[in-house]
Amino acid sequence: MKVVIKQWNAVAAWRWDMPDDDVCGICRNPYDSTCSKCKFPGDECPLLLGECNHSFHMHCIFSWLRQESSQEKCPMCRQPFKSKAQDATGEAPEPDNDSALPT
Amino acid sequence: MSNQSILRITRELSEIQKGPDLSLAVACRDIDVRHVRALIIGPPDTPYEFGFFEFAVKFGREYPTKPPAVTAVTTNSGRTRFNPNIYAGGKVCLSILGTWRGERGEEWSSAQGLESILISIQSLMSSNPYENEPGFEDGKSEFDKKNQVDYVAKIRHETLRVSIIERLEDYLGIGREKVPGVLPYNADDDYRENLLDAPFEPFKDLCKRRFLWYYDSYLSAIEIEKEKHADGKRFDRMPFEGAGNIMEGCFQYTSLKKRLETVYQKLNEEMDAWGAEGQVATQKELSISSNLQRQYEQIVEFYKNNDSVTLDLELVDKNPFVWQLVLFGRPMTNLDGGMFRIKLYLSTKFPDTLPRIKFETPIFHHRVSKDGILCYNPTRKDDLKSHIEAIIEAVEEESPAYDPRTLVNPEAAKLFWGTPDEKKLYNRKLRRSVQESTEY
Repeated sequence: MKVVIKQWNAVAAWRWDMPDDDVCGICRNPYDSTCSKCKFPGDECPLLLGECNHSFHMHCIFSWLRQESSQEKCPMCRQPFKSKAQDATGEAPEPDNDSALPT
Repeated sequence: MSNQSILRITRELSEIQKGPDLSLAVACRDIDVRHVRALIIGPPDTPYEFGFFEFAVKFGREYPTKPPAVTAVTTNSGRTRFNPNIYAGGKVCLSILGTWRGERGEEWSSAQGLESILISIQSLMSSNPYENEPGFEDGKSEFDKKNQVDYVAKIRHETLRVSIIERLEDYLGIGREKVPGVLPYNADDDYRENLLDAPFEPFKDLCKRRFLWYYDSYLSAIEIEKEKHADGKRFDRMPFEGAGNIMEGCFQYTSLKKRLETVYQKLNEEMDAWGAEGQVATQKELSISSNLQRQYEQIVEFYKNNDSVTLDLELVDKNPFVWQLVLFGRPMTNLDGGMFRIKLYLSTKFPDTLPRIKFETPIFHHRVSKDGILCYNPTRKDDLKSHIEAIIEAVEEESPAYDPRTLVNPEAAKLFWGTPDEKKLYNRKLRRSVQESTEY
């Protein structure tokens, strides 16, 4: 049997390279979701990984670090919060699943 | 509402409500998530044992960047300081709340939350709260040692009097002009109760049920303390207690015992009245009545087709508000050959008011009080099948996780979790009550 594909739509999904069920310790939303201010997950609401290996939505951790009372410490372990090497955070989301749907 | 913290508060509330911790409860009015009420059950083996301590938690717009404001509500109307760090005026001194100078790493952070606050408060309620006071941490002098004992003694008394007995008396209208008798269900009253100006008492049913669970513990605590503290003896004053921020009063265990018994009796009367109230509801064809009837029929149908459990369920006098469950002991277990008659009493306010479960057949079991009150915890409160399942599980479970908050029968629990010999004795006593159950 000969099949001719006339048209196809690619569908891709992405997720952060993070454990599945983990949530941001500040907003308690999943990492794949946004901080509580943003509407769209992804580059607009990225994650930030600290040197202490605790990660948060960038907006969440920034609004905490802006506080004087935070003393610029990680809210989880209270070590001084420094973001880990750039490439860990600036990375573009990778598609990890795509499928073609013949119509 | 644009505010971001609402989402987090809502999530925290539902997590605590769904969680397995029997010592915490939280609630808020649907329209106002920022004002939360929290109930902490006093930890076992402390003078706060099984007391009901309520706190008001107010979340500001900057939560979780800033901590919420927490106020103690159980203060005997502002007269009693229950802990060096929980003031009569309601202030809770805690470093993570920013109300106390904290050590490094103890301050608030946005990764903290409602549950961690409540657990911190709970940890203030220790077996020796005297040492919570700065400067008294390691009192080794005779003076300090005596104070520690005296402090525990008066806290225990006030826990029983204020946090337990007076709370329940308020709920039941004892000692007031208006004494609720047998009230027929009235849809208008029910509606009015839901209005905003009605008092917000989210823990009313919870406290009543827990009171029934822990009644034997309360009573035995009073019996022991009564011997040690003569009626009328004034509480000793602690060196850190100042004007207006103090725990004052005198021991009156004899009258506490009477009041405790009265509360217990009232609760039983209330439960007994539900049957009659239910019959009125059925005559008026209220929806709660048909709801319960339908649930009953579905459960009977379910167990007809389910061989894993042998039970018999029927309505007492065809009243959907009083169920009789006959549970047959599972073969090859300690309950083998047993036959237990259990009554379920349902309120017209179900599921806001949860059923009361009573064993009519005596059983020696760590989850069943001397009077037959069963301690169980349904996963879905509005689903009676979930209640039945939880009842069966509580009775049958052979190696439950130790949770001192489920100890409703102090004698049986002590043996159950005791030495191997005591465990044997427990099994023997349970087996005997199982054998006798068929003759009852």
